[in-house]
Amino acid sequence: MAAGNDDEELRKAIAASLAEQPAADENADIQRAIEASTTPQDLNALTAAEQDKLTIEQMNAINDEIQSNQAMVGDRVGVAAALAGEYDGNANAGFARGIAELDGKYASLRRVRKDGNCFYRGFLYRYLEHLCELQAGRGAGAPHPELERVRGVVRASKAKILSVDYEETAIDMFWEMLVEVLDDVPKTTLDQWHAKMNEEHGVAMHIVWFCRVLSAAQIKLNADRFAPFVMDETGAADVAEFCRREVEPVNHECEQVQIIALTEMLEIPVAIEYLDGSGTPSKLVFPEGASPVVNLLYRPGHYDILYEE
Amino acid sequence: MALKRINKELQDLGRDPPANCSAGPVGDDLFHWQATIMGPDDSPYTGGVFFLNIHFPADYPFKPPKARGPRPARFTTRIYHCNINANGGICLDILKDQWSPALTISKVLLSICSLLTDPNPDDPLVPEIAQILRTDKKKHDTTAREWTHKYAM
Repeated sequence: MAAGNDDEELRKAIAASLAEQPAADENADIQRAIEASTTPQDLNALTAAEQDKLTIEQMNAINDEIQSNQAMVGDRVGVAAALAGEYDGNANAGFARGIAELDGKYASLRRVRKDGNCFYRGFLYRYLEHLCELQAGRGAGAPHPELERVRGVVRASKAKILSVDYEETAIDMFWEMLVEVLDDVPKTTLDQWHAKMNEEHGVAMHIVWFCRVLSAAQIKLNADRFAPFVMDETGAADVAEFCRREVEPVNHECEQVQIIALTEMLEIPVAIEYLDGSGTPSKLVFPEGASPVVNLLYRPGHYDILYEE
Repeated sequence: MALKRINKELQDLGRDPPANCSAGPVGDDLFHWQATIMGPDDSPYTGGVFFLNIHFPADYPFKPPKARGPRPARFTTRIYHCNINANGGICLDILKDQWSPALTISKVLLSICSLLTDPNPDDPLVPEIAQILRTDKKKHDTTAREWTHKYAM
């Protein structure tokens, strides 16, 4: 059979299997999509190349599925209301206790799309939202000192990034967009910001990815300090390789190293509540002792935004 | 945005082409390029000129450069290499899940050049060639040289 037909048939099979899924629970949908898209093929009969192709097709199908079901950043909803349903019937009562406690501490939550970019997206969304609020409080007058500060940091970041071997051609466009977004803060309403961060294939995907570059650059600029945290299974630590594999690729999930690096690079602290079913959620602040405006909720594999009031 | 980025890369390639590689659009379509790689001197591919077919997806650079359809960029010249199959498909992580917008065509071509110098038999696309490379490098290199003469000169 010609290779082109294989592609076509596979695409049809995946499309058909996705079309059959009811739009109930997002995660269950995605899980079903993965299973359904593998069943028409006998994986063992495929060559390595065909399996690669299948993997890519599946990844694309799953990403499309996530894209069509989840807003990039949702509306504010009550913490308990947002989370309770997801843990209904969960054998681990620790989740219910943890949710109740978070509900007492935080007024609301915004869901962030589960596409591997949730930390960067949630962080950027909440921080810029805060900047828009600060600036709105000052009217159309002079920029708020925090806006001035972060504009300076971001403008200066380009030279730092280029100093650790990024090509200007590769990062320029992304940097320009973040600079422009910051310059526009005084004339951006919260609704406009929300819309901008939910526009598919728009500014959001560019500035969210640029956060990865900011994080990676900070890791490379402080290679000695970060090396112990990026060791592979053999004990070797290569920060450039870590950035290439774990930070720069578009949908790669974020670990604590990336979080520390990004908060350092931008000098924007972040607090993270860890809800893992052990009962009391534990709160970590980066850097320690700071009082962040950006509060995120971490559940294994995912970040959402929390609001104290 | 894709077009702006592709144009920038094209300008860079004109100004500062990577060693032993060249690339540019086929005709007027800036999304369809052809690249050439000269077989590296320290490899059995030396003296050969290898052509590759590259299509930029509409959402480049968020997605990697491809050949036709969902496949990564590919060779259009036959080559005897354990990470490049008979269809010209290339087994290179940066063309798949390790792609990032921080990479450019120039970096991709340099990585492919490195792959010609240092094949990776631990992650083969053609297990038979990988097996020969592991067990009889001399035989492997002889065949690779023969194919280079036959298809790439």
